Amino acid sequence: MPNILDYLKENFLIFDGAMGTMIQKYKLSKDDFGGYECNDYLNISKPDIITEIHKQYLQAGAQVIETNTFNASELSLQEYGLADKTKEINRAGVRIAKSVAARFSTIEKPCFVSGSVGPGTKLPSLGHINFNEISTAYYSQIETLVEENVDILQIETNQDPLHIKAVLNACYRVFDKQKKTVPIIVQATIQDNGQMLVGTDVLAFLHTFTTMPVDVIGINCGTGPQLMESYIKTLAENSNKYISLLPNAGLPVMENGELAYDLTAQEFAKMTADLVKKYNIRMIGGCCGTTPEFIAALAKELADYKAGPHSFDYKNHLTSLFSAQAIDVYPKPLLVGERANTNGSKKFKKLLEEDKWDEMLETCKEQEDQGAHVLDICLTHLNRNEVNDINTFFPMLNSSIQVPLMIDTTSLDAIEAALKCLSGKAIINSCNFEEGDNNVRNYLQIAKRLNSALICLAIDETGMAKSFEQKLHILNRFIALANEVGVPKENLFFDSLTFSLATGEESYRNSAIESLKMIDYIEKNEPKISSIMGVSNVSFGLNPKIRKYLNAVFLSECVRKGLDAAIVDASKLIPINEIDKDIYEICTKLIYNEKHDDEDALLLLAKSIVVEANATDSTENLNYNEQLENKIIKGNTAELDIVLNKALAEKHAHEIINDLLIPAMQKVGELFENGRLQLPFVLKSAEVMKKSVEYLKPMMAESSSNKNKSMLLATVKGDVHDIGKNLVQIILENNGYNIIDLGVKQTPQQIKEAIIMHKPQSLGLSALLIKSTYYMKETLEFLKNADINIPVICGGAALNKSFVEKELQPVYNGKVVFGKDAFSGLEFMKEVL
Amino acid sequence: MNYQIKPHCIGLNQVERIDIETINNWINKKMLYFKLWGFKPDDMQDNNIKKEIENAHKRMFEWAKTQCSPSISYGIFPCQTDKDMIMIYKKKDSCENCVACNLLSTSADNVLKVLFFERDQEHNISICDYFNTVNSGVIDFLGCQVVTLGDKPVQFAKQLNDENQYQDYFYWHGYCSALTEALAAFTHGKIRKEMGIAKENETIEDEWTMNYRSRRYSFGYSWSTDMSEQFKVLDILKAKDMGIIMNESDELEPEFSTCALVIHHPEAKYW
Repeated sequence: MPNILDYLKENFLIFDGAMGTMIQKYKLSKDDFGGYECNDYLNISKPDIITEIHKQYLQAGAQVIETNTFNASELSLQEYGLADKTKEINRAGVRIAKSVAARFSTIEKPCFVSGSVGPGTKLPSLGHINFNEISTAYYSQIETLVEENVDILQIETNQDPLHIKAVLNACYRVFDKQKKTVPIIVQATIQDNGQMLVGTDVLAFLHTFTTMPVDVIGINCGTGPQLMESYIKTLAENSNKYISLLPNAGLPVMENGELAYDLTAQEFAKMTADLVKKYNIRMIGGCCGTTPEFIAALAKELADYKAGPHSFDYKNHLTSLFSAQAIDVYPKPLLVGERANTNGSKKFKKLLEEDKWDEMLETCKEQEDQGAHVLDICLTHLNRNEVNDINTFFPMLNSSIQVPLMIDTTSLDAIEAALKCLSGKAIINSCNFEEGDNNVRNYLQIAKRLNSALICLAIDETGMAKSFEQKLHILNRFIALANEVGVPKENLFFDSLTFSLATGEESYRNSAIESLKMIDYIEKNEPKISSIMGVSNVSFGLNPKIRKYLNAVFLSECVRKGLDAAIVDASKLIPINEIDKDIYEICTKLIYNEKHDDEDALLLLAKSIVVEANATDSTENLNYNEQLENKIIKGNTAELDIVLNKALAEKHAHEIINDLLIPAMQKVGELFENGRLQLPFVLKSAEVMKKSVEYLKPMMAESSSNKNKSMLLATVKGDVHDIGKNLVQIILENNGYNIIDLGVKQTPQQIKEAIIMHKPQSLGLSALLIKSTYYMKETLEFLKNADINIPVICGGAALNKSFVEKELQPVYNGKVVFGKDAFSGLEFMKEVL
Repeated sequence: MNYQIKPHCIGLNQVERIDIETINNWINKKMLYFKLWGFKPDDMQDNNIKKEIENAHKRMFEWAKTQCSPSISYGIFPCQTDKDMIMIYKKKDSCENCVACNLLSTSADNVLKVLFFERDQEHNISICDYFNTVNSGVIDFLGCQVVTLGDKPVQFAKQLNDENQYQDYFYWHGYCSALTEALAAFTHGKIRKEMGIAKENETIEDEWTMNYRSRRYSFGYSWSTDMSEQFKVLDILKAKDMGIIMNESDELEPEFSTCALVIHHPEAKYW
């Protein structure tokens, strides 16, 4: 007999169909059940019937039969008063199946026995039962199945990932005890809403187990094959394990007052076989309502099918009870919310002291809303029992927080308690080598046993590692130990640590560089390991106003080097584009320990922030030209007239426009071009510009408005779209140009007449549709024939550079230019005038 | 697999008053925020920008309640294909509740409209490949839809621009484009239901990820480059009654209107 996993490498396996459905057909009496009304007891009271059912499935073409032990955990048997017969029932179940399978097994077509382990009726994520109770109650069933040498364990029809985790925990304990390993199938029941009963979606189910030692992840029961394609597709595209699929015989319908299923054997076989072929499913069979007839039809459909090669690629995720979160996010980094922390937040600590659990939960939900991908939770408190607090708070988190969690504590007991409350895959924060290898080994073992990721800090027996070499040495120790314990690299996070740059001490001046080097090293050499950093340490000790800038710049540098995850307060993070260029530069120099104009960067930073801080607190101290520029760039119209009056006291209105406002708008344009300002904000700036100009207009002599720099704008014939044209107009007008807007649907004749009348220096044509681009061409030809040759800029969704160059330019005597966005009009005007 | 569908009802259906809130919920925020409004996905991590976006969305939604009057016209029509033509048949009155449309006459005088399509020679594909042919002896069905927000939002956009409310003008224009698309998606969802191909619990996320059976084909793309064919669809849908016209450039007026064919074939794709 080959090992079932070896066989799977090149083959698929057909499982049997329903057991319960078959048993019902025998119309057994209460006596046949030995008075227990428990199907699994038939292993003892009517072994010949179970034998016959197995036989029928093998004859139909099944290669794997499932033991009649679906309800034979101590937990379920207890409900029938059979708890003391757990071992006996399971042993009999395996022996019956083994003896039948042996009769049908050949070298070409080996038959296997799968040990069925059902879910019971209590769901830990809903608080019906806890992890340890499940793990204990399933131990005896699994112990017997493994002793009796089932070929594979099938933990099936699961409604709750936490239940699965607990049963797997029992499996691993049995394997340790018996010193052998049996392959494992984990199967969820996905309802027609695409979720498990407790709300877990398919991806979250999958990724809760991708890094665990299980061999097959699949779906059984719930619905028929007709509704399973999207779930199977999700598995097929994301799983690093083989896939199993055991659908019901369609969707349930009532027939003569009895539950039946809506598919015939042929329909079932065709649909299921299609899924097998399309998604390379390796284990396939039937669940409720399927019979040997279904399995025979399935075998026939798959008679000539050969399994294709299986891809084991996958993207690592963390999970909550509800959903999966990829560790590799775009844009980087994965943001870990830091506010639910008794060490970091006085407010949170106080709530814990007053047992205000609901308000603590609110703190968590707030961060979730603010965009944290993962939440760090620390309940450590000197005067409290952390394990008790975890057992109160973590079940609440588990059932209400959508994102994965990070367990922030150094107590192994607390970590274990927390992981046993969580349905998904979490991160442990953190371990270090302060007390040597053994301590880290303990953390790794918990991480392995309860499937969690684990952060290691760059700390060893000598303390916090400052140099790159020290950090690297610790990382390598961590990798070696993880390898020894058997934790996959995907589950390892490394925090290379950073130190405050605020001390100015010589020995710390290079500390940021060393941390960045380490992040860079992990990115390039250990792609499976994730780097993580509590970024704000870099500015510890500085004025809060300075801290936020230095933190932002440092985070941005870390991300540039490849930082995967950052522990931050998402609400305090300022975007890099809001930082003044000078401050940005000084921060960068401080981080990279460079002199700034021969002055100490730290000192300079402190000085410059004083100015900046004042500026943001109040614009009072700024002179009017800075204030005006500020208002335009920030799109702020408050007290605009006051500032303009201040300016008018010293300058002419046209000077204010030409020397202050237009340069400010140019700055806005540059910010837009560099991707540091979004279009809606540019338009807000233009609004301020427009308001200022309107205010100043009455004070200007007519002659000083610049009629010489004018453009005629129109949307061509047959086109009513004017958004593009209007944006060009807004930008040009507010950069001091004179615009004559003809509006939409302008015929060549109308455009010609307007040019003759207004004598503009240039023409702008807009068109959205493909057809109107041909009208654009017609317009240009018409203008050429009228001897008009002023420069033209053409823009619109259907246009591109090559159309303008190849189709439009040749038909016109003057210059024709393609305008890709609202600002190209500005470039164009500068160029042609 | 048998792709034949059994629509619950066939023929034209016009709905005038549609709740803005419902349609607002169908808006694809990614498209609105990142494509139409020009923000970048990482902007959402900046709380100030996120707030700005959310407030703008809220403000536009409030305006839409008074400025937009969404109406739709759609229908499922019996049809078959002949080469690269779709023959749309008249429906018999007796056919109102009948789903076994095989009784329907496919004779030439029962043809309501013929839509012509070009075969994409490079990929050897045509929209018509997704239907039962005239020789199949089996009737197939085509979904048609046109939606509009009415003329008022266009006027309102103009007003904003004239008043130099540039930012809101831009937000409003983008919002109305997204709302039109949402209205089209909503109508497509209705057609799916009436075709009997909607999933039990179709969600709005399914819409955005196209996790549903059938595809919506607008005119002017590679599968239907001849825009003038759209006119026939508008005619069937009595679009004129809704105030929608097709101008000399074959574009729809008012601006915030869009028309499409719904093809139910599970393998229908875009090219």
